[in-house]
Amino acid sequence: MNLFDFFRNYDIVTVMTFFPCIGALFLFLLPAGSPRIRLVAFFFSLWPLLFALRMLGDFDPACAAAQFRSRLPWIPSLSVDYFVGVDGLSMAMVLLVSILTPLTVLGAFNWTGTSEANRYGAKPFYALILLEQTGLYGAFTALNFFHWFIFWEASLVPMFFLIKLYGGPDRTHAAYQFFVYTFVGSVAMLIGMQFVYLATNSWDFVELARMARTTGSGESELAMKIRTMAGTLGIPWLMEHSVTFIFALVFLGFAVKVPLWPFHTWLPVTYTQAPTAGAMLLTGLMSKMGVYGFLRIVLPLFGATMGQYATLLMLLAAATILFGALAALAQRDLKTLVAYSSVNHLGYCLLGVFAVASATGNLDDKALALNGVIVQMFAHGLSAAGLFYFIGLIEQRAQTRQLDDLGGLRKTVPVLCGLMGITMFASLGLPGLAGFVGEFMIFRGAFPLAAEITALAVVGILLTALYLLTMTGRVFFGPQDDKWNGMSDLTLRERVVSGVLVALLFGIGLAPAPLIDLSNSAVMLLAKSLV
Amino acid sequence: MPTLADYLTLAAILFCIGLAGALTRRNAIIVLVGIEMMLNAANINLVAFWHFLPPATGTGQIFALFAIAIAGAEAAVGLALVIAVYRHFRSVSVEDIAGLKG
Amino acid sequence: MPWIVENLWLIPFLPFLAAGITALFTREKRIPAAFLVIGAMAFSFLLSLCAGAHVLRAGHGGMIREAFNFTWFAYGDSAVRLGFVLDPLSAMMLFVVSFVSLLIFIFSVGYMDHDENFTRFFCFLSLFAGSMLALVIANSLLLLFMAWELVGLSSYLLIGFWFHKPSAAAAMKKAFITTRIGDIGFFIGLLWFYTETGTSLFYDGGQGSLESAKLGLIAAMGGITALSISLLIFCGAMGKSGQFPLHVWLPDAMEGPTPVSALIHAATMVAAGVFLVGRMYPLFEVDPAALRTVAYVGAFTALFAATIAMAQWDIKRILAYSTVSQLGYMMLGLGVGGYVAGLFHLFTHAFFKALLFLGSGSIIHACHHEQDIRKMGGLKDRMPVTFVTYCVGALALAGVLPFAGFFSKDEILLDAQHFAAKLGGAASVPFCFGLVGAFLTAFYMTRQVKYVFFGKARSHATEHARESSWWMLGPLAALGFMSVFAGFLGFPNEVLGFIGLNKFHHFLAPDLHAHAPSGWIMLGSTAVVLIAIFCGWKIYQGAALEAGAGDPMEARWPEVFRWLNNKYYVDEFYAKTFVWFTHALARAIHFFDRYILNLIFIWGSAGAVYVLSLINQLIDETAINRGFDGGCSTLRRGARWNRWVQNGLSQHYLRITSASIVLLFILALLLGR
Repeated sequence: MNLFDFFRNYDIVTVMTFFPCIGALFLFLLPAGSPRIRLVAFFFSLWPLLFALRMLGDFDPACAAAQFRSRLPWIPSLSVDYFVGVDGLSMAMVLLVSILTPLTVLGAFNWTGTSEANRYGAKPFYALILLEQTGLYGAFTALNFFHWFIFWEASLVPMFFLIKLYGGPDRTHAAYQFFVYTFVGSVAMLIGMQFVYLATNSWDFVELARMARTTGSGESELAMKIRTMAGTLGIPWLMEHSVTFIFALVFLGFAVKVPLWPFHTWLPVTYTQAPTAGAMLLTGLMSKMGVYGFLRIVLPLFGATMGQYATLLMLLAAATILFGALAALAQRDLKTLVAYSSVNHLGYCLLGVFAVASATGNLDDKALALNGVIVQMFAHGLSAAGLFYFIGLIEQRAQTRQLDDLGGLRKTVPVLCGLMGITMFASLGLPGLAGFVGEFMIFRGAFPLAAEITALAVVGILLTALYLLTMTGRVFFGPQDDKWNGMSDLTLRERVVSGVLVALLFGIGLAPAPLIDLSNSAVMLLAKSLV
Repeated sequence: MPTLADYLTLAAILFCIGLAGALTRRNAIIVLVGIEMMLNAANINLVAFWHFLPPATGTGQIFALFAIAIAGAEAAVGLALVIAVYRHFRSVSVEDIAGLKG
Repeated sequence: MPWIVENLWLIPFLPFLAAGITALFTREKRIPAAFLVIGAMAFSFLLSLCAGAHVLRAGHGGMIREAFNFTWFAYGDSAVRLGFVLDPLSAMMLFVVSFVSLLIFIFSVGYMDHDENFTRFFCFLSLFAGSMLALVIANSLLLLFMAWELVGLSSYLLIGFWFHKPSAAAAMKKAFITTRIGDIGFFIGLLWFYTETGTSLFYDGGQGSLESAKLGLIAAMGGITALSISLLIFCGAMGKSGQFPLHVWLPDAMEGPTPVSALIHAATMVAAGVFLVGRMYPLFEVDPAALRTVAYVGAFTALFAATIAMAQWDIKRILAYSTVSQLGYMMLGLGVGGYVAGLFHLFTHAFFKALLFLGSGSIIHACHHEQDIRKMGGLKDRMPVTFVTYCVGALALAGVLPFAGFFSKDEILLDAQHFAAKLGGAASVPFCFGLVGAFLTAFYMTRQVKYVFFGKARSHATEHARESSWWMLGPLAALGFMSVFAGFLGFPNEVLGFIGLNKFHHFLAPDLHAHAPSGWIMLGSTAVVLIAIFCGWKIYQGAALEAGAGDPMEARWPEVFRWLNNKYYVDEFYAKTFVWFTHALARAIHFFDRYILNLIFIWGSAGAVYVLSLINQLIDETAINRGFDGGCSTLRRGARWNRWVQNGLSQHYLRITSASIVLLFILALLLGR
């Protein structure tokens, strides 16, 4: 094999995944306090975008199966493979990670200069972001549960340290709460999946999904195997409900992560205490891991089981939407407010996922809702990360993020206000911006499946508007306050970060077709298994 | 015709003399001589067993020959060590050399 | 497909483009911004005229409806499609919106000349006009909704243009939220309608949702499906068009600069609701109960808002409530079956209400932003052009022959009368309300004109008022012209056979049968209006127009006046109920989250972990620690002995070894065999 062949045939997914990780190691070679640290970090976080774009170029939207596959036996005795690949569900997420992480790093240039964020130096800070990026890539591309789970957990660790070392005043409490709570969910999921492994002798998502699709005598091959395995325990009652139990365990892991009401209470504290870059990653990318998990694991494997509880779950999703929005309305801290808005927006994704699981309905509606979930994930990733970024900028300039202290900023920082306004309107689902497309698709897809609950959830878009406009009004409008006189508007770098976000929001809002084309085939495969 | 027991007794006596020398004398060279005697006592045993016990292959003899050769090598190394120790400590008394203590 | 249909998208696109470019301008680029925006609008206006001409020419002797559809995105095995449609309704709306917008843009150059955010203002105006133009040509309920929301956004931005005033900041939010309440209904209706018909397009060669095949499908479904969808969509119209009970945002929206008020309250945003009902008329017709509801809501709003307008002091608020009332008329017209009548009123109202608002803008500008009519007075000599045009607008609004308002209002009353005759009983309510509303309208306009233009100047600012510049008077004149003559387009065909053939009706709905005009209604409504003007003229003169004098009506019926002046306390009622409830609920949820759920889940999981760790500690200390500690002390003892053994003397080691061997031998001898 000559060099040319190597560069044509290398395993692009693996290289992309570990590229930031290598960057993190490389950072430690630099002298502490070097001004080059952040540039190097930016380089290593941005470079994977090239891989992602190359993948996008080679990606075949018509193919439903995973592409760019690479499979190596890892622990053959436990049928654990290192198995990665990118399909329609993950392509959008890979792109989102590739876009959002460099922006986060670039945005973080602002904070690493300040004494507060400099508590432990810039080097670990950027290294943690880069490690987080590797974890995210891994979690979005893995096709084997075992190695997926490693990345899933590994992405918790850098975030824990980002919060613990660089967070706000209550960071220790928040970091532990975040870690322990999500970990409890993960453990539940791990236990559930171990049962699945014992029953099927496979960790492979593709294989497991195939088993769940194969039906015979009223239940899927997967369910049958699980019941047979549970049968060996000799408790008939347990055997009867074994699939439900395992579903519940796995479900819990993702429900905490997304989060679903009432498992969301770790989120406001965590987001509020996290440093701005951490909050951007948390809301923009990590919360998507949960939804992605629903698409990758829960729906393909336990779609039928979930369908039995679809009404209850959709009610919970509606509660997530409505209660998230109402709680946001009661907040006085900008960051907590936007944190609750994240709960609110992810509720739409969950509504789509749960609606799709219901047993009735036709293929196209389900495909629409699932595509909508992906668009909504993408859109919310951009807009919520953007909002946290802007809040960080406001906090840096005003030294406060309490609604009651702010006011009349528009006069002083018109560009910041304008760009944040666009991001906010994208978040509240204004047509022409990204948020509307996802919400419309989810609602339109879910409506034929469960009209009443969808109608209930639509009220959420009113409440979303209510709290976001209240926020904007408090921060930007009203009489100009002299204490903001010295405040400077956005610098060029800040304009680049927010400009890219805003441009993407417009792009997806006006022409969502390319994004939807990416996911459509994979979504159709998934939807077909649920009809 | 001496029996196996006679040879073994001889070897035991020789061994004890060697051991006594090795344990009681301070001079490192004498200690070395004692050790050589103990080795040779073992050699006598080897040859004796080879001679009296079946099967009568050449194993014991070859074994003894090896032991002698090794003893020779060991004596050479041991003496070289003694010289090195003497150069270092200006003494060949084993009581002055306690460097093995950890 | 004709060129104009294929390029219909250009009409909204040009203002959007202008808005996008001016958004990037700095504050100083005032002239390029105004030039760009007005230029784009002028082009849109020309294109709208082309579109209108195409409809006129092609629609000769029949209805023309041409649509240009495209796929927005594909999903599954189907797709979401959007499109633009050119038919008489959209052509009429295109003309109205682009014409009035263009005049208002020109007016704004004069009105906003001192404002530091002049550039931004034109950007928002252009965005607004673009959204409105997109709304009227949408051939898809989805696209219509999208434009609808953009209209909401731009009104939000424009109402809050002077965002440093807390009242403006409150009004912008109120406008957006209140209309969005209606939009919730609209959106649900949209989802439902889309689901039932399976297409997002209105007209799609027989497969559109408003074409007979799909409507038949909905009608065949029976039950309340058609009614529910219609009413849900009507919720959106109620929000945008300020129908009771969602009218509260509209008067507050007067916080925006006056050209904005003209734009929002005359031609565009508020008309969107009426237009929506007009556009969805085939659906509303499926279940008659839907149209009846529209009629009653409209009738109530028409009367309700007119009474409030009688007791307001702010020149713009009077016009705002008048707008609410007139929108009620339009809804009433549509609801009683007068499809053409309602839209004709929309058409004429756009001109004279824009005229009145711009006239009030001219007055406010001249009086240094004084808006209280008690502090004006005597302006007829100082601002003659404004006075004349304002009177034309007022007469048109009051519905005096031969001004535009007369014809449209008369047509509505005519249809309402037929409605009452056909159904009987409660169905006469719209007609009666309409007639009383006509009286009140004429009355409060007389009151306003008397207060503003007659008597003596009652404040310093008014004394020095000067006629406005031609930037502002030009549009007034153009609108005045339309207010006089637009009505003749709908001249009933049988009164004077040689003048008209009700051109408007023929243009908009050639297939629809028009009721024969009734002389009694014309006479009756004219009489009512004249009596009202006479009453108003008599009451508001002499001492009533002196400085410091109260309203004669207030002296006569203080309680009634107080209720009317406070708008029946609807705002206060909402604040005490819905707003309070929402915030209380928010606080309750917050509390529940923070304390109850946190307690259960966070402390629950933390507690579980803690209990586990307690158990772990117990095991550690009793089982593991004991063994471990024991091991340690053994090791320590062993180490002490070890220290004696390892003294580094090789002979010592040898001694131990040999002694051990001897011992082993002895042991072997004793225990062996």
